[in-house]
Amino acid sequence: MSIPDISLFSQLSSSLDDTLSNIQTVEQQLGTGKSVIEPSDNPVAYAGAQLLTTQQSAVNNDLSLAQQSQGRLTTLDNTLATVTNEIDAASATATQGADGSLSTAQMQTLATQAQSILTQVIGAGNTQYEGAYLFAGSQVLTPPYNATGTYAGDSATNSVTFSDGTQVQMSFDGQSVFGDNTNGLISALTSLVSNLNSGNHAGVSATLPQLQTALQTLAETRSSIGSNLDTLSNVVTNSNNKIVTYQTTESNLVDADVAQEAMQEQETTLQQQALVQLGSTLGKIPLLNILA
Amino acid sequence: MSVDLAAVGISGIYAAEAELAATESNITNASNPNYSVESVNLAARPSPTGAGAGVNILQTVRAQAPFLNDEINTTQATQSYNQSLSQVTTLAQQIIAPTSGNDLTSSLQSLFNAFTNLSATPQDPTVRATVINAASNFAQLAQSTSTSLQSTASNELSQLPTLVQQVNEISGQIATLNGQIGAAQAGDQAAAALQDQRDGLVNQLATLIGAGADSNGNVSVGGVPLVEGGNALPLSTTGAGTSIQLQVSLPAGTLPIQMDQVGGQIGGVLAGASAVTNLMSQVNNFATAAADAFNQQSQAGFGLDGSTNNAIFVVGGANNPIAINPALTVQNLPAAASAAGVPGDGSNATALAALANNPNLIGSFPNQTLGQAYTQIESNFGITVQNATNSEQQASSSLQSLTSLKGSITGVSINDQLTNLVEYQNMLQATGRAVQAANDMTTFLIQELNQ
Repeated sequence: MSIPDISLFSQLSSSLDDTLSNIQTVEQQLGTGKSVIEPSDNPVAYAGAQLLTTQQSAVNNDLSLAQQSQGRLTTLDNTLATVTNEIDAASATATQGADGSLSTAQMQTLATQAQSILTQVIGAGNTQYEGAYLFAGSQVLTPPYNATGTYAGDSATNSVTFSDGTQVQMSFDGQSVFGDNTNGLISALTSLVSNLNSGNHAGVSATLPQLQTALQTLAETRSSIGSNLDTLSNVVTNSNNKIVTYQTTESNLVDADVAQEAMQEQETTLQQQALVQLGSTLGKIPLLNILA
Repeated sequence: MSVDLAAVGISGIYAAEAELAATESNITNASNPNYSVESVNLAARPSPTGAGAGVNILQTVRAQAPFLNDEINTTQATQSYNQSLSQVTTLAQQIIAPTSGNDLTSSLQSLFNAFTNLSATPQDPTVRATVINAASNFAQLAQSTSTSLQSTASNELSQLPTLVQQVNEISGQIATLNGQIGAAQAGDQAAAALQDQRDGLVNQLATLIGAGADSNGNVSVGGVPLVEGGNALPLSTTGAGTSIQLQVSLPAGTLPIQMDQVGGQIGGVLAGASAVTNLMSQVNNFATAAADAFNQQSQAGFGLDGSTNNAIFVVGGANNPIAINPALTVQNLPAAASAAGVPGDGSNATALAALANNPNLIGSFPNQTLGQAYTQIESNFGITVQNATNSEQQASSSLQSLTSLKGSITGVSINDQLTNLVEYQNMLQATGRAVQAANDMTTFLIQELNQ
């Protein structure tokens, strides 16, 4: 079969183009570390990787939100720990005040201490975290307690929901934790101050069981917060694990096999060198040389 | 009975000259892709005795491979079609799925994340502003994606007038050549060079519009003639945008070309513009479905200022699928609360974030979440790009094989021609020597007769 010279050169040119294109592809894959960059590279793998990226974004957000929420709940827990100490101090004050042998002046001194505790407890009820009142139910923009312990919040609570559906309560109804000036801890402390001021030893004594009840309520609330913190801790751990899993799965889908790509680059480069050499040989037409 | 020895030799000289001329023409056209190798047909000149009396030159002929020619034109049209389609769809793919990763899915997920964060701190002005910002980013990206796809399709179609003009110019040249070839053949003159030119032009028309030609140079696309003998029929476009049509002007009216019959670069341009327009429609539907879902849920919520029934997006604006509601503020963002006067209630924000997992929000993608639907759009279009690219590569490979095969029949091998050159030079020298011998004999006889 006769082989036209133009075919030889056009085939050589085409082969060189193909080889250069292959080298470019391999270098792009080595440069980015990915074999799937666009949907057309591998539509199925691209779609899988995109879904994983989306899930990873949600889990990253969960991780960040859980860590922020841990800070918020830790603030809540620290506040309640302080109030627990205040209740202990109030109980000690009440125990002393129940002693009928105390003088009026001594009772006044104890009343001052109890008033200080009451003020601190009301202050704890108005604790804020990043601008939100934590014990106001859903009325997070308004201080839930005034100076006399009247509650202005509501009984609603707020929860954060993570991408896997996990819910964690983030705000609390202050009235159920601290009560107000008519019942609960604040009422007990108000009564304690009043009875100490009036020298009513029996009245002071009557506040002791109320304070114990408040202590129990606080312990239960702290237990609930502890449970929520554990849940958040699990969210953090699970999110970190999921991120690793997603990254690994995504890597399997779209990452380039560097060793294989490097070998292919060598092969393709060698092929290109051979083609260039062939081009040089094609330029020397043997018959023309012989006839000359 | 006498033999004219000189005439025999001279006929050989003419034959050798004709063959040398053909050989030289072949060598000088060795790099001309539209050239078909030529050869001289000779026939022995009979004498009255039946013995040879020299050689007659019948004609100079060119090598032909009509079947391969048609196959090459068809494959060239396929390659050109898919090349155009691949180029424009690759551009569109980069718009919907940029390598930066900042596509509508990631923007949408950022919005869902913002709502999740809002559910935790629904009163926080910073978090509320982040929600509005994320919603605005999503709307802007939807707008820019839609606009970019629209301009890509428009730019693609803007090539048509130039391409149609090229078709008409080439059709005119073919019609002229048809006339010249007919005249040459009628006058028993060689038309090989003209036929080569015509083949090359027909190949260009195949590349441009997927046209085919018969052996007489009549060109048509999808059964609609472009060239009939010496007449070129003007091609033109009607309509605009996606409703653009091609038609051929006949002496009595116009004849439309079925769009699915149009191949080559023009066919690829039309198919590419159509694919991109269809993609834009899918992206717009996706953005609209997402915005509708967000609006429906957000309108059930309440802002910090107690307002309700406020939408986050404006859907169906002029030239844009969605836009952020310009009246939206940090205070009236109705997303978070499910009732008025409860700024710490993030239940509606939770409901909005939960839309991420709702599989019934976009009718054209049943049982798929919004994120899955957009990924499906990207993936489906990736298949379109992949098919076009693969088809182009396959056609290119086939074209190379066919061209090589045709070249083995019609192409010029310099080695063959050099061999021929030596042969015809020898023939010329030998026939020259024969004429010399005849002349010597004649001279001898004249001298003998004179003595």
